[in-house]
Amino acid sequence: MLKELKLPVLRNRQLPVLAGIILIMIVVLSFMSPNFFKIQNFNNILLKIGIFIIIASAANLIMITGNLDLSVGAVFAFSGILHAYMSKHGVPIAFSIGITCLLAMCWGLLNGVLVGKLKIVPVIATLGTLYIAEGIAFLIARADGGSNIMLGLPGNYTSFGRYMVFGKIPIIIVFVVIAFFLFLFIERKTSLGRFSYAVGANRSAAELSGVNVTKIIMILYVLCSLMAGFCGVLQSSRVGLAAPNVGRMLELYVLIVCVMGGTRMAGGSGTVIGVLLGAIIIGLLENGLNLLGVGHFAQEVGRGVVLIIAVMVQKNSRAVRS
Amino acid sequence: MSTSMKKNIKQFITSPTFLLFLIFIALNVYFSLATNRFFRVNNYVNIIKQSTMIMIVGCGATFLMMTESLDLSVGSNLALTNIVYTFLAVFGIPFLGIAPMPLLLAGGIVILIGAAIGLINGILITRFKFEPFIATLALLYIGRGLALATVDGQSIRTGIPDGFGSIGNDELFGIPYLFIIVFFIVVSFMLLERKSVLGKHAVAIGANRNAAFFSGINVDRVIMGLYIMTGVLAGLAGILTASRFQFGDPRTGVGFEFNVLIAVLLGGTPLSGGKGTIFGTMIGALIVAVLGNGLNAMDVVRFWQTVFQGIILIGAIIFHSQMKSRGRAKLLAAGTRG
Amino acid sequence: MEDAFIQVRDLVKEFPGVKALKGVSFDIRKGSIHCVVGENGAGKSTFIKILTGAYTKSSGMITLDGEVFEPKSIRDAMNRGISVLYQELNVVDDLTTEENLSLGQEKSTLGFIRKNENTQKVMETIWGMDQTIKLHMPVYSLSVAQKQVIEIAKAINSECSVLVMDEPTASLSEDEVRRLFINIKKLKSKGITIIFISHKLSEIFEIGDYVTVFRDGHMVGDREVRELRASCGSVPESCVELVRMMIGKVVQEEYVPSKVDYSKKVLEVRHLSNRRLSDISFDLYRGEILGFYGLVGAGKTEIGRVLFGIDPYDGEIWVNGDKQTKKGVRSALKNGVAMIPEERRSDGIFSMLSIRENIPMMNIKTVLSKGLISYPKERKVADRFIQKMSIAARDREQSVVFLSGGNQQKVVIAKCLNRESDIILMDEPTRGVDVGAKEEIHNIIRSLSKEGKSVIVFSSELPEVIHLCDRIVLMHEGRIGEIMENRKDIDSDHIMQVIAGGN
Repeated sequence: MLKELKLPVLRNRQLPVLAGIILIMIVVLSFMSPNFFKIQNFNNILLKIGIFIIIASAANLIMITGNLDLSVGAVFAFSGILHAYMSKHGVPIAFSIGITCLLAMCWGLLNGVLVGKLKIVPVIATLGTLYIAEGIAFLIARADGGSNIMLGLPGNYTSFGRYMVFGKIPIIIVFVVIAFFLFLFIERKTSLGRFSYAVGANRSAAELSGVNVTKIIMILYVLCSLMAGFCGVLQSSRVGLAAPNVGRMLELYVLIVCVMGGTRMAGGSGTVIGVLLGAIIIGLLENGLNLLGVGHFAQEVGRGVVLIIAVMVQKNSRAVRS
Repeated sequence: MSTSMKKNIKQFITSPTFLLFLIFIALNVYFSLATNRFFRVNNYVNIIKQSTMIMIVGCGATFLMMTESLDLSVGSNLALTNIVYTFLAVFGIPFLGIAPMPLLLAGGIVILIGAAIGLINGILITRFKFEPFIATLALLYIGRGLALATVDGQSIRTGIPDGFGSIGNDELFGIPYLFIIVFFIVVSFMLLERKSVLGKHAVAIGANRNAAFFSGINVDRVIMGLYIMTGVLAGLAGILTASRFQFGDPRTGVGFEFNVLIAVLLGGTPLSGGKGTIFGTMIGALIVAVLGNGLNAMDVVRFWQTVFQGIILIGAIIFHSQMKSRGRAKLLAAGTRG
Repeated sequence: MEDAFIQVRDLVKEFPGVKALKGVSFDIRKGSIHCVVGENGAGKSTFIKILTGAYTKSSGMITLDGEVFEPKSIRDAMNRGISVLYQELNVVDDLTTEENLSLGQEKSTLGFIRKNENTQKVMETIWGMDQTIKLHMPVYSLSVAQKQVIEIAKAINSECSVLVMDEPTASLSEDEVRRLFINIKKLKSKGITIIFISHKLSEIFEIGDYVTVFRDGHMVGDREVRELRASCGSVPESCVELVRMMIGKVVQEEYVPSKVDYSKKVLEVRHLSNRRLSDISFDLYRGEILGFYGLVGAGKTEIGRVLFGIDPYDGEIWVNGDKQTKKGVRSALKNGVAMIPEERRSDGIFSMLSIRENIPMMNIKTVLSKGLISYPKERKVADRFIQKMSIAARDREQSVVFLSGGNQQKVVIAKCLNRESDIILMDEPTRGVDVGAKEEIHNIIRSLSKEGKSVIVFSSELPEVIHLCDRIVLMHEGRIGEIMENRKDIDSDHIMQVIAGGN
């Protein structure tokens, strides 16, 4: 199986370039800041981008079909707060995680119905979901009596998110690895993955080949919301608090990471390996800017600029090829 | 009654704008019955004030949507211009040693900033062929980041010069300046929509890009112009919000772009462009404001309003797509091609 | 010709790998109605596109009114007086007649529109053709014919000297066609040269002065319509003469009857009708190759679309004795009907994906093992088809976009064959494919019938159907004209008569 997974990587010219950029960034940052090349710092970077990688792996498949999901941030926030609320009010933690993930999938189902069945432009449809999910996240926080949920959480609330596998690997990193391989597996080994590429490459041909396009799109949206929801739980459990506005901008990160990783916005190509590399680049970039003392708000500007550059690079590389 | 009049009335009654009007009336009746705080002159003044910013920016956004484009950066644009305007009026440009500016000058500079954001949107979309959604999303984040970075995330509440709040709060013969400005803008955009070359070209581009091109219309230039226009309007809205509340806030206007989008969509301008009216957008803006105000009066939490916004957004799109597919079905049935 | 307004000399247009025009020469007289006919791929649309500035020629020359004519763009051609009435009308539905007329040429003060005297002039032109069109009517309330009038008036007022009409009657009723013809004659009397493209031959005899026939990139006939009519007598007879020119000489040599099992009906179609089809009934037997033949627009593709569950229909379809109740592509596939679509690029291939990924797309089960995609299996399937169909590719990992048209078509066919359906519909299976690949595809179709599968070939190439098919269904304007048995000495003249609308 390893051989099968390797083959397409070598054919993809974008991935070596991304890997090269990462190497250069590491070298440059090591020279520029003495605090960079430390285990602790890498750990920080991974913790920061872990969430993006997990969600973007799923969102990437949606983008491969030529659609997109802007509601991931809201679903992320909704799930965190719901999990916190339930845990605080006596629902056993494992049970609460399960329910939260199920409800998170409902948001994906809503997206899937709107985009796949009713054929509504994905930008608008998922924007609508973003609103509703975020509104409800705020309402849950309010029902609890505050703007966020922190006090009164059970003592073992954080034990899931802060769990160290083998005593030293944060659990989130384990999930990143699992998600990466899961989506690599879906992408390469399942008909779901294969059909996702087909839908993005030529939707009409996919339909005429008997592919159930609506079903594929619905499954992918549900999967993506599940990942966003699970990450919401994970994050809230790790930091020991849940706020209804934590997911803002997450959709942008996810978008940037996918575009950066070489996934075409129009669909048909892209891989989770690119997503991983793209996320690492973003992580290094932010980390570097932090170490160099660039302000938080200026970084926000930078993110928008990076999005523009990533799209432009992609458009150019395609123009050269054709 | 003459038959043509009957026909006109029938046409109006079956039009989406009329349906919208009914919804508007129904909402008013509902809130008036549900709470005694709603149906009051003062409250209506408030409602209109709440809707003014959406109306102003909605004018430009309607034109954009007619050409099948959209601008998600208006909220950030509003925030950036809001904070820069206040900053210039209060501090000037300290690192260049420039003293606090007169309001008119600050306003002029800020309008240019608004126009610049529109220009960048326009360049990305027409020159680099970005999808409007992606380009303006990027500008949404850039604008917000710049707004926050300018003041390091703090709002400016002290040192506000005299007369700063005048344009947003004072009245002329009992009519708020704000209303006069909005009235002026809306009327001129209605004229633009019905009587100007720009209005016709916007409709033509959205309805049939090929026809527009073959008629010799410079499609890119029109779209670029509309983005700049929308940017200027967002800049103006930034100044007015700063004046109305008498402070500068880099976090203002979060989600404003969606309110504008909803107002335009509710007003009968479809995402696919080709038609639309400023009048419809104005009613759309009023509905958004009435809904917000009414729910407030009923003590419904702000967050429910977010939920409602989402539902309305999706509802409006489904409504449009149904209308469109019905129209198309009619067209197909009429075809007689052998 | 002395009074030639447009002279075309040795016009050649080459696309990578294909020569669409192979040296065409003819003249168009000033103020005449000049018809251009030819089957798909004959080169007539390439010629029109060069004339209107959409393409630039590879070599040769066109002169317009004595001057060399080399338009650089569509607008350039328009400025030189060449206007086109496209099938997709370029009017803006949501604007009024007046606004449409002045679109792009508005007179304005400070951006606001002034009254345009010019509009009044155009309106008079319009009223000369149709009095019912009002200045302030929104265009969406007008019929297609009325929209055409608006576009024609716009062209006249931009002082065009040549008006190209691309199948202008395609979506008009008979009454509207009659009125259009009256208007075309008026234009002619004003000295405007009209280039008229149509697939309906009877119209050419009604309106045309001259007719130029294209076939396979050549100009094969350039005749005066009056002369044609005089030599052949009645109109259908003259049509047959034209059809003969369009199709060329048909050599019948290769047909080998398939082993058809006439006891086993795999498909029964009864009284099928929809918007484009009326009362289609036929049967298909096991092992049979059935051909559908007719001119462009005769309804061949439409039958394929209905059988494959894409378009709605009235009537009955029975597959293997079961009446079809469910609609949709997936249920057609489930019942053992597969189709190779007409438009390979937009409906057939996944151009960004590799050959290996393309082939199993219609039947992913063939490459699954334990529910997962097995690369060894996939490679085996891909290699088998690459070999069986001799697909010329660097390797199976090559993206389909880099293959030639013929090889792309083979990938589409392989994708369909991998489905292993009993009934295979092939819409123009060899369009845009070179001669060698064509022969190979024909052999594949023959071997399918040997395996006991039934194939329906929809083709606008007569040689293809008479080389391949056991029975041929002749179509004319959405109806079946005749179903005939194929034999070695088939009467191609008779076929041409039937598809031209005669009996």
